[in-house]
Amino acid sequence: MKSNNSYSIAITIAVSIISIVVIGMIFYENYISDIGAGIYLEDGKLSDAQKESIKITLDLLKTLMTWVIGVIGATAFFLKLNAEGALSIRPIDLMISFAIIILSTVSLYLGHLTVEKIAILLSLDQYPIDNEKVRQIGRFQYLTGLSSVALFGLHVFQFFWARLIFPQKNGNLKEEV
Amino acid sequence: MGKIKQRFLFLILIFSLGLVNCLPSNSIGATLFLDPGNSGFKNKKIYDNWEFLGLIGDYISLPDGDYNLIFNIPRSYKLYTKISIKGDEVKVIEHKSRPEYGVTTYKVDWPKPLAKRHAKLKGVVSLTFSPVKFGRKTGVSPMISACMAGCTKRKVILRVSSKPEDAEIWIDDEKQKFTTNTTLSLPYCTYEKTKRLVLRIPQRVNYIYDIKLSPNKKIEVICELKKPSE
Repeated sequence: MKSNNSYSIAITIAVSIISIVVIGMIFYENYISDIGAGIYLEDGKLSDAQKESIKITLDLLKTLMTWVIGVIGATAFFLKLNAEGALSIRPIDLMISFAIIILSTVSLYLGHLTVEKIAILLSLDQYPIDNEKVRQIGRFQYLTGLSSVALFGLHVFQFFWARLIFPQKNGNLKEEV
Repeated sequence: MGKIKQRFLFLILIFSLGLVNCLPSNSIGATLFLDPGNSGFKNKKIYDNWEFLGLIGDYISLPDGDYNLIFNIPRSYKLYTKISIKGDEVKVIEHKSRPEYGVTTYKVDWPKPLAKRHAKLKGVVSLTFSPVKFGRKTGVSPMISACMAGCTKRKVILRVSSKPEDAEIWIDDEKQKFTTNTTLSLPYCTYEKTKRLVLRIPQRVNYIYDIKLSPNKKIEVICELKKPSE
């Protein structure tokens, strides 16, 4: 009965958080990240230096997007390995995994949004790298992406550290290894 | 003959660029000073039927006609002032306050704005706003839901020059990071027909222009922002 209750509460909280994140994404895309007026490109054309900086920025965005997809996969794989092994999974492990996946999803969304804004700005003959909105969204993508990677590192550390200190309670790491 | 032809071609070129000159025309009825008085409304955005005009404290020139001046105040209320301009005569026809949707409503006391000739500046009419007093709570205003709409972007190319330079550029009611003189790519949604351009330098008369939107249209605005008494 108690575990049923705890399951309902956990699912309700998780669904609420996901709903808030999704609503926040839609709101941000429609109302905050909208593109405004900007300096018109000279003759409507990009210089070679501008083309190069756009290429580098897109590469950076894609790299970070690849990283967070990797982190989502690694988190799921890490959970699977431990669930299948003898190590017990505590609620805190699941919570951290959930936070990692949420951060990664937000980072992925922001990366996608930045690329989209760059494409729109180019079609409007504006130089996108100087655009305040693009820089802001890009910075958020960078921060959420790196946070998810860092949190994943922390998760791995705390998971095994807890089992080294309290082997009886959380599963004996040495026996498993 | 060659010179006449050249001048004719030059004129065609100017018109095809959509050149706009903002020097005062005969249609201007009055120069208004939107006087904040002791109301505490200085620098609030003010609109004519939600078309941006400038900030309270600015000078604006308006042609003869009726205007519905609107601005937002704290506690989610809007103040409406209907004025009539005929020549340099300005009359306040109506004034009222209205709450936004879904907010707490109050008994509001807002004295009628006062229109009178400016004491120092010739040809300028001051419209002085009084402070608003909020009384007891009276309830909650009705709620409506906003709808979201997707939008396909197009652009106009807007060259803005002013004398003096460094005038603030406001598009609709948003202040841009850029000042004159500059060339902007101005995005708009395909369902929009016009955008309001306001050039502003404090202590000078605002320049107000409605940009007619058409994809990739080049518009040049050249403008002299005059002092109110000029």
